[in-house]
Amino acid sequence: MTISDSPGAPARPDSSTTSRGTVPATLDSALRAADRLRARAWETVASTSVDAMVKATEKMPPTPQLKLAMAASGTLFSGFTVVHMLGNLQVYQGREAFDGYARFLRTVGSPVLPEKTLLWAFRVTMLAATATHVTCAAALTVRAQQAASRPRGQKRLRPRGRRRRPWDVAKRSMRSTGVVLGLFTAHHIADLTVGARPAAAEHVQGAAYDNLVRSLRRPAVAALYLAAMTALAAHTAQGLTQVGNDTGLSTDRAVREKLELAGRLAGTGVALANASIPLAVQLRIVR
Amino acid sequence: MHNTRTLTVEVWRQSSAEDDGRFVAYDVTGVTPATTVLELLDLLNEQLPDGEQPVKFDDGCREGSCGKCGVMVDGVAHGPEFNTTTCQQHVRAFRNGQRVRLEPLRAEAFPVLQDLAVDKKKSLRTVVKAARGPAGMKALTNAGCISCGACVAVCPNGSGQLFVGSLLTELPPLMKDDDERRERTEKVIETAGETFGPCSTLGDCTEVCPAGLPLENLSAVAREYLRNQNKTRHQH
Ligand code: HEM
Ligand code: SF4
Ligand code: FES
Repeated sequence: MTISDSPGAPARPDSSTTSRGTVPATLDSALRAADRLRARAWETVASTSVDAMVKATEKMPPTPQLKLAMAASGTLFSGFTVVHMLGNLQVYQGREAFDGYARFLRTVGSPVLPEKTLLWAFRVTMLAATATHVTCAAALTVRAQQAASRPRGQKRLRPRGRRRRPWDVAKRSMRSTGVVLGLFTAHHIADLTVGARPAAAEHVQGAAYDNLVRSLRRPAVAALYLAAMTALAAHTAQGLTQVGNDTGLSTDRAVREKLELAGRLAGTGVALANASIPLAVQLRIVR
Repeated sequence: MHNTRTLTVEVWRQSSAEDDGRFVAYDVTGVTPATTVLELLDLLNEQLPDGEQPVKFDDGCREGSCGKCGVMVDGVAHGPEFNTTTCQQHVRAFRNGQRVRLEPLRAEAFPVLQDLAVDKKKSLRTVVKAARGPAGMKALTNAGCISCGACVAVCPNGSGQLFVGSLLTELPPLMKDDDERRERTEKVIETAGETFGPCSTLGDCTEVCPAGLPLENLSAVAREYLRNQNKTRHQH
Protein backbone atom coordinates (compact mmCIF):
# COMPACT_ATOMS: atom_id res chain seq x y z
CA MET A 1 0.00 0.00 0.00
CA THR A 2 1.40 3.37 -0.91
CA ILE A 3 0.95 6.41 1.18
CA SER A 4 1.08 9.84 -0.33
CA ASP A 5 1.37 12.97 1.67
CA SER A 6 0.24 15.16 -1.17
CA PRO A 7 -3.31 15.82 -2.27
CA GLY A 8 -4.69 14.66 -5.57
CA ALA A 9 -2.99 12.38 -8.04
CA PRO A 10 -0.22 10.02 -6.99
CA ALA A 11 3.07 11.86 -6.95
CA ARG A 12 4.74 11.93 -10.35
CA PRO A 13 8.38 10.97 -10.31
CA ASP A 14 10.53 14.02 -9.73
CA SER A 15 12.06 14.60 -13.14
CA SER A 16 15.43 15.71 -11.72
CA THR A 17 15.95 12.30 -10.12
CA THR A 18 15.01 10.26 -13.18
CA SER A 19 16.96 9.68 -16.37
CA ARG A 20 16.46 13.34 -17.13
CA GLY A 21 18.65 14.16 -14.15
CA THR A 22 21.61 15.17 -16.31
CA VAL A 23 19.80 17.55 -18.69
CA PRO A 24 20.43 21.29 -18.34
CA ALA A 25 18.30 23.10 -15.78
CA THR A 26 16.34 25.19 -18.30
CA LEU A 27 15.36 22.17 -20.35
CA ASP A 28 14.50 20.34 -17.14
CA SER A 29 12.15 23.05 -15.97
CA ALA A 30 10.63 23.26 -19.46
CA LEU A 31 9.98 19.51 -19.33
CA ARG A 32 8.44 19.85 -15.91
CA ALA A 33 6.19 22.65 -17.12
CA ALA A 34 5.18 20.53 -20.10
CA ASP A 35 4.44 17.66 -17.72
CA ARG A 36 2.25 19.88 -15.60
CA LEU A 37 0.44 21.22 -18.67
CA ARG A 38 -0.20 17.74 -19.95
CA ALA A 39 -1.54 16.65 -16.57
CA ARG A 40 -3.79 19.71 -16.43
CA ALA A 41 -5.03 19.05 -19.98
CA TRP A 42 -5.87 15.45 -19.15
CA GLU A 43 -7.73 16.51 -16.04
CA THR A 44 -9.76 19.01 -18.06
CA VAL A 45 -10.56 16.49 -20.77
CA ALA A 46 -11.52 13.89 -18.19
CA SER A 47 -13.73 16.21 -16.16
CA THR A 48 -15.49 17.85 -19.12
CA SER A 49 -16.33 14.59 -20.82
CA VAL A 50 -17.62 13.17 -17.52
CA ASP A 51 -19.72 16.31 -17.05
CA ALA A 52 -21.07 15.98 -20.58
CA MET A 53 -21.89 12.31 -20.01
CA VAL A 54 -23.62 13.03 -16.73
CA LYS A 55 -25.63 15.77 -18.46
CA ALA A 56 -26.60 13.40 -21.25
CA THR A 57 -27.82 10.73 -18.84
CA GLU A 58 -29.90 13.29 -16.97
CA LYS A 59 -32.14 13.53 -20.01
CA MET A 60 -32.59 9.77 -20.10
CA PRO A 61 -35.46 7.94 -18.37
CA PRO A 62 -35.27 7.33 -14.61
CA THR A 63 -33.12 4.45 -13.39
CA PRO A 64 -35.96 1.96 -12.72
CA GLN A 65 -37.06 2.32 -16.35
CA LEU A 66 -33.53 1.83 -17.68
CA LYS A 67 -33.28 -1.26 -15.50
CA LEU A 68 -36.55 -2.63 -16.89
CA ALA A 69 -35.26 -2.09 -20.43
CA MET A 70 -32.05 -3.93 -19.48
CA ALA A 71 -34.12 -6.73 -17.99
CA ALA A 72 -36.35 -7.06 -21.08
CA SER A 73 -33.49 -7.05 -23.58
CA GLY A 74 -31.31 -9.23 -21.35
CA THR A 75 -34.07 -11.81 -20.90
CA LEU A 76 -34.59 -11.87 -24.66
CA PHE A 77 -30.86 -12.47 -25.16
CA SER A 78 -30.80 -15.19 -22.52
CA GLY A 79 -33.78 -16.97 -24.09
CA PHE A 80 -32.09 -16.68 -27.45
CA THR A 81 -28.83 -18.21 -26.18
CA VAL A 82 -30.78 -21.28 -24.98
CA VAL A 83 -32.60 -21.75 -28.31
CA HIS A 84 -29.43 -21.04 -30.28
CA MET A 85 -27.53 -23.61 -28.23
CA LEU A 86 -30.18 -26.26 -28.97
CA GLY A 87 -29.75 -25.49 -32.66
CA ASN A 88 -25.96 -25.61 -32.39
CA LEU A 89 -26.01 -29.06 -30.82
CA GLN A 90 -27.41 -30.44 -34.09
CA VAL A 91 -23.84 -30.28 -35.33
CA TYR A 92 -23.46 -33.64 -33.58
CA GLN A 93 -26.12 -35.10 -35.90
CA GLY A 94 -23.89 -34.53 -38.89
CA ARG A 95 -23.57 -32.31 -41.91
CA GLU A 96 -26.98 -32.93 -43.43
CA ALA A 97 -29.02 -32.29 -40.30
CA PHE A 98 -27.07 -29.13 -39.49
CA ASP A 99 -27.28 -27.69 -43.02
CA GLY A 100 -30.98 -28.50 -43.06
CA TYR A 101 -31.44 -26.61 -39.82
CA ALA A 102 -29.57 -23.61 -41.24
CA ARG A 103 -31.79 -23.71 -44.34
CA PHE A 104 -34.88 -23.92 -42.13
CA LEU A 105 -33.85 -20.73 -40.33
CA ARG A 106 -33.54 -18.88 -43.63
CA THR A 107 -36.81 -20.13 -45.06
CA VAL A 108 -39.07 -20.44 -42.01
CA GLY A 109 -42.41 -18.74 -42.64
CA SER A 110 -42.37 -19.25 -46.39
CA PRO A 111 -44.30 -19.76 -48.56
CA VAL A 112 -46.83 -17.78 -46.49
CA LEU A 113 -44.29 -14.99 -46.17
CA PRO A 114 -41.46 -14.23 -48.57
CA GLU A 115 -38.30 -16.18 -47.75
CA LYS A 116 -36.14 -14.59 -45.04
CA THR A 117 -38.98 -12.35 -43.78
CA LEU A 118 -38.98 -13.89 -40.33
CA LEU A 119 -35.22 -14.03 -40.35
CA TRP A 120 -35.05 -10.29 -40.92
CA ALA A 121 -37.77 -9.56 -38.40
CA PHE A 122 -35.72 -11.49 -35.89
CA ARG A 123 -32.53 -9.66 -36.84
CA VAL A 124 -34.16 -6.24 -36.48
CA THR A 125 -35.53 -7.21 -33.07
CA MET A 126 -32.13 -8.39 -31.88
CA LEU A 127 -30.47 -5.25 -33.19
CA ALA A 128 -32.97 -3.04 -31.39
CA ALA A 129 -32.53 -5.05 -28.20
CA THR A 130 -28.76 -4.73 -28.47
CA ALA A 131 -28.96 -0.97 -28.97
CA THR A 132 -31.26 -0.72 -25.94
CA HIS A 133 -29.13 -2.99 -23.76
CA VAL A 134 -25.88 -1.17 -24.56
CA THR A 135 -27.29 2.36 -24.28
CA CYS A 136 -28.96 1.66 -20.95
CA ALA A 137 -25.82 -0.10 -19.67
CA ALA A 138 -23.75 2.95 -20.58
CA ALA A 139 -26.16 5.38 -18.91
CA LEU A 140 -26.38 3.28 -15.75
CA THR A 141 -22.59 3.03 -15.64
CA VAL A 142 -22.24 6.80 -15.81
CA ARG A 143 -24.84 7.22 -13.06
CA ALA A 144 -23.10 4.64 -10.89
CA GLN A 145 -19.69 6.21 -11.29
CA GLN A 146 -21.06 9.64 -10.59
CA ALA A 147 -22.78 8.47 -7.39
CA ALA A 148 -19.69 6.59 -6.20
CA SER A 149 -17.23 9.32 -7.13
CA ARG A 150 -14.15 9.72 -4.98
CA PRO A 151 -11.64 12.53 -4.58
CA ARG A 152 -9.44 12.77 -7.65
CA GLY A 153 -6.57 10.30 -7.59
CA GLN A 154 -8.03 8.28 -4.72
CA LYS A 155 -8.68 4.76 -5.91
CA ARG A 156 -11.00 2.33 -4.16
CA LEU A 157 -9.05 0.00 -1.91
CA ARG A 158 -9.33 -3.74 -2.17
CA PRO A 159 -11.67 -4.35 0.74
CA ARG A 160 -10.06 -6.01 3.73
CA GLY A 161 -11.61 -9.20 5.05
CA ARG A 162 -13.67 -9.94 1.95
CA ARG A 163 -12.91 -13.14 0.09
CA ARG A 164 -14.41 -13.24 -3.39
CA ARG A 165 -15.39 -16.56 -4.92
CA PRO A 166 -15.74 -16.96 -8.71
CA TRP A 167 -19.47 -16.16 -8.69
CA ASP A 168 -18.77 -12.99 -6.71
CA VAL A 169 -16.22 -11.96 -9.32
CA ALA A 170 -18.81 -12.68 -12.04
CA LYS A 171 -21.24 -10.34 -10.27
CA ARG A 172 -18.79 -7.47 -10.46
CA SER A 173 -17.86 -8.11 -14.08
CA MET A 174 -21.09 -7.36 -15.94
CA ARG A 175 -19.52 -4.54 -17.90
CA SER A 176 -16.42 -6.44 -18.96
CA THR A 177 -18.23 -9.71 -19.68
CA GLY A 178 -20.83 -7.69 -21.61
CA VAL A 179 -18.14 -6.07 -23.75
CA VAL A 180 -16.56 -9.49 -24.39
CA LEU A 181 -19.96 -10.83 -25.47
CA GLY A 182 -20.54 -7.85 -27.75
CA LEU A 183 -17.15 -8.19 -29.45
CA PHE A 184 -17.56 -11.95 -29.70
CA THR A 185 -21.00 -11.58 -31.30
CA ALA A 186 -19.59 -9.16 -33.87
CA HIS A 187 -16.86 -11.65 -34.72
CA HIS A 188 -19.32 -14.55 -34.76
CA ILE A 189 -21.62 -12.81 -37.26
CA ALA A 190 -18.75 -11.70 -39.50
CA ASP A 191 -17.38 -15.25 -39.39
CA LEU A 192 -20.36 -17.57 -39.82
CA THR A 193 -23.21 -15.39 -41.09
CA VAL A 194 -21.48 -12.94 -43.42
CA GLY A 195 -18.35 -14.97 -44.11
CA ALA A 196 -16.10 -11.92 -44.16
CA ARG A 197 -12.38 -12.39 -43.89
CA PRO A 198 -10.32 -12.32 -41.72
CA ALA A 199 -13.05 -13.28 -39.24
CA ALA A 200 -14.14 -16.14 -41.49
CA ALA A 201 -12.08 -19.03 -42.78
CA GLU A 202 -12.87 -20.24 -46.30
CA HIS A 203 -16.61 -19.59 -46.48
CA VAL A 204 -19.21 -21.12 -48.81
CA GLN A 205 -22.74 -19.70 -48.67
CA GLY A 206 -25.17 -22.36 -47.47
CA ALA A 207 -22.50 -24.84 -46.35
CA ALA A 208 -23.07 -24.09 -42.68
CA TYR A 209 -21.49 -27.28 -41.33
CA ASP A 210 -18.28 -27.01 -43.33
CA ASN A 211 -17.96 -23.28 -42.60
CA LEU A 212 -18.32 -23.99 -38.89
CA VAL A 213 -15.76 -26.79 -38.85
CA ARG A 214 -13.25 -24.84 -40.94
CA SER A 215 -13.62 -21.85 -38.63
CA LEU A 216 -13.27 -23.77 -35.38
CA ARG A 217 -10.25 -25.70 -36.65
CA ARG A 218 -8.29 -22.49 -36.09
CA PRO A 219 -6.94 -22.73 -32.53
CA ALA A 220 -7.21 -18.98 -31.91
CA VAL A 221 -10.88 -19.02 -32.88
CA ALA A 222 -11.57 -22.07 -30.70
CA ALA A 223 -9.88 -20.26 -27.80
CA LEU A 224 -11.99 -17.17 -28.44
CA TYR A 225 -15.16 -19.29 -28.24
CA LEU A 226 -14.08 -20.75 -24.92
CA ALA A 227 -13.35 -17.30 -23.51
CA ALA A 228 -16.66 -15.97 -24.76
CA MET A 229 -18.53 -18.89 -23.17
CA THR A 230 -16.89 -18.16 -19.82
CA ALA A 231 -18.13 -14.58 -20.15
CA LEU A 232 -21.59 -15.84 -21.11
CA ALA A 233 -21.83 -18.08 -18.04
CA ALA A 234 -20.83 -15.18 -15.78
CA HIS A 235 -23.11 -12.64 -17.46
CA THR A 236 -26.16 -14.91 -17.49
CA ALA A 237 -25.73 -15.99 -13.88
CA GLN A 238 -25.71 -12.46 -12.53
CA GLY A 239 -28.10 -11.32 -15.29
CA LEU A 240 -31.01 -13.46 -14.10
CA THR A 241 -30.36 -12.43 -10.48
CA GLN A 242 -30.49 -8.85 -11.67
CA VAL A 243 -33.72 -9.41 -13.61
CA GLY A 244 -35.35 -10.61 -10.39
CA ASN A 245 -34.18 -7.52 -8.56
CA ASP A 246 -35.20 -5.12 -11.33
CA THR A 247 -38.70 -6.49 -11.83
CA GLY A 248 -39.64 -6.73 -8.16
CA LEU A 249 -39.86 -10.53 -8.27
CA SER A 250 -36.99 -10.87 -5.80
CA THR A 251 -38.85 -9.30 -2.87
CA ASP A 252 -39.64 -12.96 -2.16
CA ARG A 253 -36.55 -14.74 -0.84
CA ALA A 254 -37.47 -18.09 -2.37
CA VAL A 255 -37.89 -16.49 -5.80
CA ARG A 256 -34.62 -14.61 -5.47
CA GLU A 257 -32.73 -17.75 -4.57
CA LYS A 258 -34.37 -19.75 -7.37
CA LEU A 259 -33.52 -17.09 -9.94
CA GLU A 260 -29.93 -17.03 -8.76
CA LEU A 261 -29.71 -20.80 -9.10
CA ALA A 262 -31.50 -20.74 -12.46
CA GLY A 263 -29.06 -18.12 -13.73
CA ARG A 264 -26.06 -20.19 -12.71
CA LEU A 265 -27.51 -23.38 -14.19
CA ALA A 266 -28.61 -21.74 -17.44
CA GLY A 267 -25.35 -19.81 -17.77
CA THR A 268 -23.05 -22.77 -17.18
CA GLY A 269 -25.33 -25.17 -19.07
CA VAL A 270 -25.46 -23.10 -22.23
CA ALA A 271 -21.77 -22.22 -21.98
CA LEU A 272 -20.64 -25.84 -21.52
CA ALA A 273 -22.86 -27.17 -24.30
CA ASN A 274 -21.61 -24.52 -26.72
CA ALA A 275 -18.00 -24.88 -25.60
CA SER A 276 -18.12 -28.60 -26.37
CA ILE A 277 -18.33 -27.76 -30.09
CA PRO A 278 -14.98 -25.99 -30.57
CA LEU A 279 -13.43 -28.67 -28.34
CA ALA A 280 -14.96 -31.45 -30.42
CA VAL A 281 -13.68 -29.81 -33.60
CA GLN A 282 -10.19 -29.37 -32.14
CA LEU A 283 -10.19 -33.03 -31.04
CA ARG A 284 -11.42 -34.03 -34.51
CA ILE A 285 -14.56 -35.62 -33.06
CA VAL A 286 -16.49 -33.30 -35.33
CA ARG A 287 -14.78 -33.03 -38.68
CA MET B 1 -2.37 -8.73 31.14
CA HIS B 2 -3.04 -7.88 27.54
CA ASN B 3 -0.76 -7.81 24.56
CA THR B 4 -0.59 -4.26 23.32
CA ARG B 5 0.42 -3.44 19.80
CA THR B 6 1.38 -0.55 17.62
CA LEU B 7 -0.54 0.16 14.44
CA THR B 8 0.31 2.57 11.69
CA VAL B 9 -2.91 4.41 11.08
CA GLU B 10 -3.30 6.28 7.81
CA VAL B 11 -6.01 8.84 8.37
CA TRP B 12 -7.73 11.11 5.90
CA ARG B 13 -7.08 14.69 6.97
CA GLN B 14 -9.19 17.39 5.39
CA SER B 15 -9.53 20.72 7.14
CA SER B 16 -12.89 21.69 5.66
CA ALA B 17 -15.49 20.70 3.08
CA GLU B 18 -13.84 22.91 0.47
CA ASP B 19 -10.29 21.68 1.01
CA ASP B 20 -8.50 18.84 -0.73
CA GLY B 21 -7.77 16.02 1.65
CA ARG B 22 -4.79 13.72 2.04
CA PHE B 23 -3.72 10.70 4.01
CA VAL B 24 -1.39 11.23 6.97
CA ALA B 25 0.24 8.27 8.73
CA TYR B 26 0.54 8.11 12.52
CA ASP B 27 1.91 5.33 14.72
CA VAL B 28 -0.58 4.55 17.47
CA THR B 29 0.65 2.58 20.49
CA GLY B 30 -1.21 0.80 23.25
CA VAL B 31 -3.76 -0.85 20.98
CA THR B 32 -5.31 -4.06 22.37
CA PRO B 33 -7.43 -6.67 20.59
CA ALA B 34 -10.48 -5.24 22.35
CA THR B 35 -9.86 -1.70 21.12
CA THR B 36 -12.66 -0.58 18.83
CA VAL B 37 -12.13 1.54 15.73
CA LEU B 38 -13.48 4.65 17.50
CA GLU B 39 -11.23 3.93 20.49
CA LEU B 40 -8.32 3.64 18.10
CA LEU B 41 -9.15 7.17 16.95
CA ASP B 42 -9.34 8.29 20.60
CA LEU B 43 -5.87 6.83 21.18
CA LEU B 44 -4.60 8.54 18.07
CA ASN B 45 -5.94 11.90 19.18
CA GLU B 46 -4.28 11.45 22.60
CA GLN B 47 -0.97 10.67 20.94
CA LEU B 48 -1.01 13.37 18.26
CA PRO B 49 2.18 15.41 17.89
CA ASP B 50 1.99 18.84 19.54
CA GLY B 51 0.15 21.47 17.58
CA GLU B 52 -1.85 19.09 15.39
CA GLN B 53 -5.62 19.38 15.38
CA PRO B 54 -7.45 16.29 16.70
CA VAL B 55 -8.90 14.04 14.01
CA LYS B 56 -12.59 14.76 13.69
CA PHE B 57 -14.92 11.78 13.29
CA ASP B 58 -18.62 10.96 13.67
CA ASP B 59 -19.39 9.65 17.14
CA GLY B 60 -22.49 8.71 19.09
CA CYS B 61 -23.86 6.01 21.39
CA ARG B 62 -20.96 3.59 20.87
CA GLU B 63 -23.47 0.82 21.38
CA GLY B 64 -24.31 0.15 17.77
CA SER B 65 -27.77 1.64 17.95
CA CYS B 66 -27.73 5.33 16.94
CA GLY B 67 -26.18 5.03 13.47
CA LYS B 68 -24.09 8.17 13.86
CA CYS B 69 -20.64 6.60 13.59
CA GLY B 70 -19.04 5.35 10.41
CA VAL B 71 -15.67 5.36 8.66
CA MET B 72 -14.15 3.19 5.96
CA VAL B 73 -11.56 0.79 7.36
CA ASP B 74 -9.25 -0.45 4.60
CA GLY B 75 -11.92 0.15 2.00
CA VAL B 76 -14.87 -1.36 3.86
CA ALA B 77 -17.62 0.79 5.35
CA HIS B 78 -17.72 0.34 9.15
CA GLY B 79 -14.82 -2.15 9.00
CA PRO B 80 -13.84 -5.72 8.20
CA GLU B 81 -16.23 -7.45 10.63
CA PHE B 82 -19.53 -8.25 8.94
CA ASN B 83 -22.73 -6.40 9.95
CA THR B 84 -21.11 -4.38 12.72
CA THR B 85 -21.08 -0.62 13.29
CA THR B 86 -17.74 1.20 13.41
CA CYS B 87 -18.13 1.75 17.16
CA GLN B 88 -18.50 -2.00 17.70
CA GLN B 89 -15.69 -3.08 15.36
CA HIS B 90 -12.66 -4.40 17.19
CA VAL B 91 -9.20 -4.16 15.73
CA ARG B 92 -8.25 -7.68 16.70
CA ALA B 93 -7.82 -8.60 13.04
CA PHE B 94 -4.85 -6.23 12.85
CA ARG B 95 -1.46 -7.49 13.96
CA ASN B 96 1.33 -5.53 15.56
CA GLY B 97 2.97 -3.17 13.08
CA GLN B 98 0.21 -3.42 10.48
CA ARG B 99 -1.15 -0.47 8.56
CA VAL B 100 -4.79 0.50 8.78
CA ARG B 101 -6.33 3.02 6.44
CA LEU B 102 -9.22 5.08 7.77
CA GLU B 103 -11.21 7.25 5.39
CA PRO B 104 -14.55 8.96 5.55
CA LEU B 105 -17.61 7.09 4.27
CA ARG B 106 -17.22 7.69 0.54
CA ALA B 107 -20.12 8.58 -1.72
CA GLU B 108 -21.18 11.56 -3.80
CA ALA B 109 -24.19 11.83 -1.46
CA PHE B 110 -21.99 12.09 1.66
CA PRO B 111 -19.80 15.20 1.42
CA VAL B 112 -16.84 15.30 3.82
CA LEU B 113 -17.20 18.00 6.48
CA GLN B 114 -13.83 17.57 8.16
CA ASP B 115 -11.35 14.68 8.37
CA LEU B 116 -13.50 11.55 8.82
CA ALA B 117 -16.74 13.37 9.54
CA VAL B 118 -19.29 13.43 6.72
CA ASP B 119 -22.76 14.82 6.17
CA LYS B 120 -24.77 11.66 5.59
CA LYS B 121 -27.91 12.93 7.27
CA LYS B 122 -28.90 15.34 4.54
CA SER B 123 -29.17 12.86 1.68
CA LEU B 124 -30.67 10.04 3.77
CA ARG B 125 -33.17 12.46 5.20
CA THR B 126 -34.34 13.80 1.82
CA VAL B 127 -35.46 10.27 1.00
CA VAL B 128 -37.27 9.86 4.33
CA LYS B 129 -38.87 13.25 3.88
CA ALA B 130 -40.15 12.17 0.49
CA ALA B 131 -42.13 9.54 2.40
CA ARG B 132 -43.44 12.46 4.48
CA GLY B 133 -41.40 12.36 7.67
CA PRO B 134 -43.05 10.35 10.43
CA ALA B 135 -44.24 7.45 8.26
CA GLY B 136 -40.80 7.23 6.68
CA MET B 137 -39.07 7.23 10.08
CA LYS B 138 -41.49 4.60 11.37
CA ALA B 139 -40.88 2.42 8.31
CA LEU B 140 -37.12 2.57 8.88
CA THR B 141 -37.54 1.76 12.57
CA ASN B 142 -39.75 -1.19 11.71
CA ALA B 143 -37.15 -2.41 9.23
CA GLY B 144 -34.43 -2.08 11.87
CA CYS B 145 -32.42 0.42 9.81
CA ILE B 146 -30.37 2.85 11.91
CA SER B 147 -29.62 5.18 8.97
CA CYS B 148 -25.87 4.71 9.25
CA GLY B 149 -25.27 5.08 5.50
CA ALA B 150 -22.77 2.22 5.32
CA CYS B 151 -24.72 0.53 2.52
CA VAL B 152 -24.27 3.59 0.30
CA ALA B 153 -20.60 4.09 1.12
CA VAL B 154 -19.61 0.46 0.54
CA CYS B 155 -21.48 0.19 -2.77
CA PRO B 156 -19.28 0.42 -5.88
CA ASN B 157 -22.26 2.15 -7.54
CA GLY B 158 -22.97 4.56 -4.67
CA SER B 159 -26.44 3.04 -4.52
CA GLY B 160 -28.71 3.53 -1.54
CA GLN B 161 -30.99 0.71 -2.52
CA LEU B 162 -30.72 -1.25 0.75
CA PHE B 163 -31.77 1.86 2.66
CA VAL B 164 -34.45 2.90 0.15
CA GLY B 165 -35.69 -0.66 -0.42
CA SER B 166 -35.94 -1.30 3.32
CA LEU B 167 -37.98 1.85 3.69
CA LEU B 168 -40.22 0.78 0.80
CA THR B 169 -40.58 -2.71 2.27
CA GLU B 170 -42.01 -1.34 5.50
CA LEU B 171 -43.86 1.72 4.21
CA PRO B 172 -46.94 0.15 2.56
CA PRO B 173 -48.51 -1.29 5.76
CA LEU B 174 -48.30 2.19 7.29
CA MET B 175 -50.29 3.84 4.53
CA LYS B 176 -53.96 4.56 5.03
CA ASP B 177 -54.94 3.70 1.47
CA ASP B 178 -53.61 2.80 -1.94
CA ASP B 179 -53.49 6.38 -3.19
CA GLU B 180 -51.29 7.40 -0.30
CA ARG B 181 -49.03 4.41 -0.92
CA ARG B 182 -48.62 5.26 -4.59
CA GLU B 183 -48.06 8.94 -4.02
CA ARG B 184 -45.38 8.45 -1.36
CA THR B 185 -43.52 5.50 -2.86
CA GLU B 186 -43.31 7.39 -6.14
CA LYS B 187 -41.76 10.41 -4.40
CA VAL B 188 -39.31 8.18 -2.52
CA ILE B 189 -38.16 6.45 -5.71
CA GLU B 190 -37.83 9.72 -7.57
CA THR B 191 -35.82 11.33 -4.77
CA ALA B 192 -33.63 8.25 -4.37
CA GLY B 193 -32.85 8.35 -8.10
CA GLU B 194 -31.63 11.94 -7.77
CA THR B 195 -29.56 11.16 -4.69
CA PHE B 196 -28.02 7.70 -5.11
CA GLY B 197 -26.66 5.44 -7.84
CA PRO B 198 -28.30 2.42 -9.52
CA CYS B 199 -28.29 -1.02 -7.86
CA SER B 200 -26.47 -3.97 -9.46
CA THR B 201 -27.35 -6.53 -6.74
CA LEU B 202 -23.72 -6.86 -5.71
CA GLY B 203 -24.67 -7.42 -2.07
CA ASP B 204 -21.77 -5.53 -0.47
CA CYS B 205 -24.46 -3.59 1.42
CA THR B 206 -25.85 -6.68 3.12
CA GLU B 207 -22.34 -7.56 4.29
CA VAL B 208 -21.93 -4.28 6.17
CA CYS B 209 -25.50 -3.45 7.25
CA PRO B 210 -25.51 -3.50 11.08
CA ALA B 211 -29.22 -4.37 11.00
CA GLY B 212 -28.50 -7.40 8.80
CA LEU B 213 -31.16 -6.33 6.29
CA PRO B 214 -31.61 -8.84 3.46
CA LEU B 215 -31.14 -8.65 -0.33
CA GLU B 216 -34.90 -9.09 -0.80
CA ASN B 217 -35.39 -5.51 0.37
CA LEU B 218 -33.52 -4.22 -2.70
CA SER B 219 -36.26 -5.45 -4.97
CA ALA B 220 -39.01 -3.50 -3.20
CA VAL B 221 -37.94 -0.47 -5.22
CA ALA B 222 -38.80 -2.14 -8.54
CA ARG B 223 -41.96 -3.70 -7.09
CA GLU B 224 -43.36 -0.36 -5.97
CA TYR B 225 -42.21 1.34 -9.18
CA LEU B 226 -44.02 -1.19 -11.40
CA ARG B 227 -47.06 -1.15 -9.16
CA ASN B 228 -47.29 2.62 -9.56
CA GLN B 229 -46.90 2.38 -13.34
CA ASN B 230 -49.70 -0.17 -13.69
CA LYS B 231 -52.11 1.75 -11.54
CA THR B 232 -51.41 4.99 -13.35
CA ARG B 233 -52.11 3.34 -16.68
CA HIS B 234 -55.42 1.84 -15.55
CA GLN B 235 -56.73 5.22 -14.51
CA HIS B 236 -56.40 6.80 -17.93
C1 HEM C 1 -23.64 -6.36 -26.29
C2 HEM C 1 -22.95 -6.77 -25.27
C3 HEM C 1 -23.47 -6.65 -23.84
C4 HEM C 1 -23.15 -5.67 -22.95
C5 HEM C 1 -22.23 -4.48 -23.17
C6 HEM C 1 -23.86 -5.97 -21.72
C7 HEM C 1 -23.77 -5.24 -20.55
C8 HEM C 1 -24.58 -5.41 -19.46
C9 HEM C 1 -24.54 -4.60 -18.28
C10 HEM C 1 -23.55 -3.47 -18.00
C11 HEM C 1 -25.54 -5.02 -17.47
C12 HEM C 1 -25.98 -4.32 -16.21
C13 HEM C 1 -25.72 -4.98 -14.96
C14 HEM C 1 -26.26 -4.09 -13.88
O1 HEM C 1 -27.46 -3.88 -13.77
O2 HEM C 1 -25.43 -3.58 -13.14
C15 HEM C 1 -26.19 -6.11 -18.13
C16 HEM C 1 -27.28 -6.79 -17.63
C17 HEM C 1 -27.81 -7.92 -18.21
N1 HEM C 1 -27.37 -8.55 -19.34
FE1 HEM C 1 -26.01 -7.83 -20.62
N2 HEM C 1 -24.59 -7.11 -21.89
C18 HEM C 1 -24.37 -7.56 -23.17
C19 HEM C 1 -24.88 -8.72 -23.74
C20 HEM C 1 -25.73 -9.60 -23.09
C21 HEM C 1 -26.09 -10.92 -23.59
C22 HEM C 1 -25.56 -11.59 -24.85
C23 HEM C 1 -26.98 -11.44 -22.68
C24 HEM C 1 -27.65 -12.78 -22.71
C25 HEM C 1 -27.04 -13.85 -22.41
C26 HEM C 1 -27.17 -10.45 -21.64
C27 HEM C 1 -28.00 -10.61 -20.56
C28 HEM C 1 -28.15 -9.70 -19.54
C29 HEM C 1 -29.13 -9.77 -18.49
C30 HEM C 1 -30.18 -10.85 -18.31
C31 HEM C 1 -28.92 -8.65 -17.66
C32 HEM C 1 -29.72 -8.23 -16.42
C33 HEM C 1 -30.73 -7.19 -16.83
C34 HEM C 1 -31.27 -6.40 -15.68
O3 HEM C 1 -32.26 -6.80 -15.08
O4 HEM C 1 -30.70 -5.35 -15.39
N3 HEM C 1 -26.40 -9.36 -21.91
N4 HEM C 1 -25.60 -6.33 -19.35
S1 SF4 D 1 -29.87 -0.28 5.44
FE1 SF4 D 1 -28.33 -1.03 6.95
S2 SF4 D 1 -26.38 -0.21 6.17
FE2 SF4 D 1 -28.01 0.95 5.14
S3 SF4 D 1 -28.35 2.78 6.40
FE3 SF4 D 1 -29.79 1.22 7.15
S4 SF4 D 1 -28.71 0.17 8.81
FE4 SF4 D 1 -27.14 1.31 7.68
S1 FES E 1 -21.92 5.43 17.67
FE1 FES E 1 -24.04 4.90 17.69
S2 FES E 1 -24.04 3.23 16.30
FE2 FES E 1 -21.92 3.66 16.44
